[in-house]
Amino acid sequence: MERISSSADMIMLNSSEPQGSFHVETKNLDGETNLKQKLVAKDLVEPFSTDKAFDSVRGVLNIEHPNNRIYKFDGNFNQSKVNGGVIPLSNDNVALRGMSLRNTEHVTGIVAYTGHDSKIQMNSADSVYKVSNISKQTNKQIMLVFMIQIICSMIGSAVGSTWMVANVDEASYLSFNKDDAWNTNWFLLFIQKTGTWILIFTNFVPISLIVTLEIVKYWQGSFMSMDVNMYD
Amino acid sequence: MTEIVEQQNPNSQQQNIREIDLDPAALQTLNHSKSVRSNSVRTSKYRWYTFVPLNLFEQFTKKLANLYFLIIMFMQMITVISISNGQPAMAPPLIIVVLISMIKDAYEDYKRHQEDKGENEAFAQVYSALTSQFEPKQWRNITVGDIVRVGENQFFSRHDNAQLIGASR
Repeated sequence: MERISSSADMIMLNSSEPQGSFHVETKNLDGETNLKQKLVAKDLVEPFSTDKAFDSVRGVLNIEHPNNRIYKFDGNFNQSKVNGGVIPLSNDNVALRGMSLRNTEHVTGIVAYTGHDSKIQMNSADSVYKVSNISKQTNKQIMLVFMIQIICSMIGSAVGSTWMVANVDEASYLSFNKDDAWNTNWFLLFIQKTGTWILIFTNFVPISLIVTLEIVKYWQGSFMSMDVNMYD
Repeated sequence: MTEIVEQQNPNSQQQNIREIDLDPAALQTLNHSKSVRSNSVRTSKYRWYTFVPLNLFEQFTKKLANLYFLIIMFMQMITVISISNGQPAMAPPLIIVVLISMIKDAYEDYKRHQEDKGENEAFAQVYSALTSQFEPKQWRNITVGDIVRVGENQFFSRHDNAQLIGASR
């Protein structure tokens, strides 16, 4: 069976089938796989029964502004300036981008909405940077581990600074410069040593875990896309 | 008939109506105006020149681990507290991790670009008033008011059909 899809949202003028009816499948729009019957507006079937009529299509289409409602459509085809009537148009008379034609040789329509104005595009959200639940959880855990790391660093640093202030005179073998406030002031020592301890405890958050997680996720994802049972 | 004409033009509703005058000159004006968009679609996330900054920004804001290791890397460069002699020892593993994620994201977006390209460059049958017959025209060049035939057609080459089938997936 031939699958041909519509390239833009169109208002139908002609169908190869009797009474201007035709069938479409809307799987790409709403996921439904049944065939839906659509028709060319009743008053347009006769005027556009031959290709010659397309030579001079005149009139004004009054239709809704681009929107994302795929089941509703209102408008009319006003041919009053060219000796015609005003023909009402409904959702049955339009074929949307993404619909595929079924059981019908061909249909012809006039393009009403193009590209990002078309209903399928108005419905699709912008592609976003995907964050999985597991990485949200990882982020929380990292925060927690980082807190613990800071607390540990501060304890280590407080003990170290206290020892340093008390013993800097006896520890001459460490050859500290006693005139430097960074070696004698408890508070300055504390700040400096906290930084050092954070670096010492860097591996509280293991970088290898993150890499492993990424690889496992990718691997399981590719198993999913390789799964034959996922396709119909 | 007058009733319908009146319904079209109340001031409150005027903004909600798209008027397409099918006169060729009016159509040309409409299609050059800002009110309609081209039939070329883009579902990809990055353009080639936004990829590096945008992807880096996302990697360091959405993944806390990367930010953590970046901060550690800068701390390692402060000599008074450094335990690695002021060298950013965390840089090599961090760069590798970020690069791998970048390659993965680039590959996924490349596939989206390919899909967009397949759709935008597929051919449709558009009626030409000059030759009075349907002629192939790429999807991206289809404009509002074009008369398009969808379906089997003698002018469709096998190749065009294959592209359309691909695009309709």
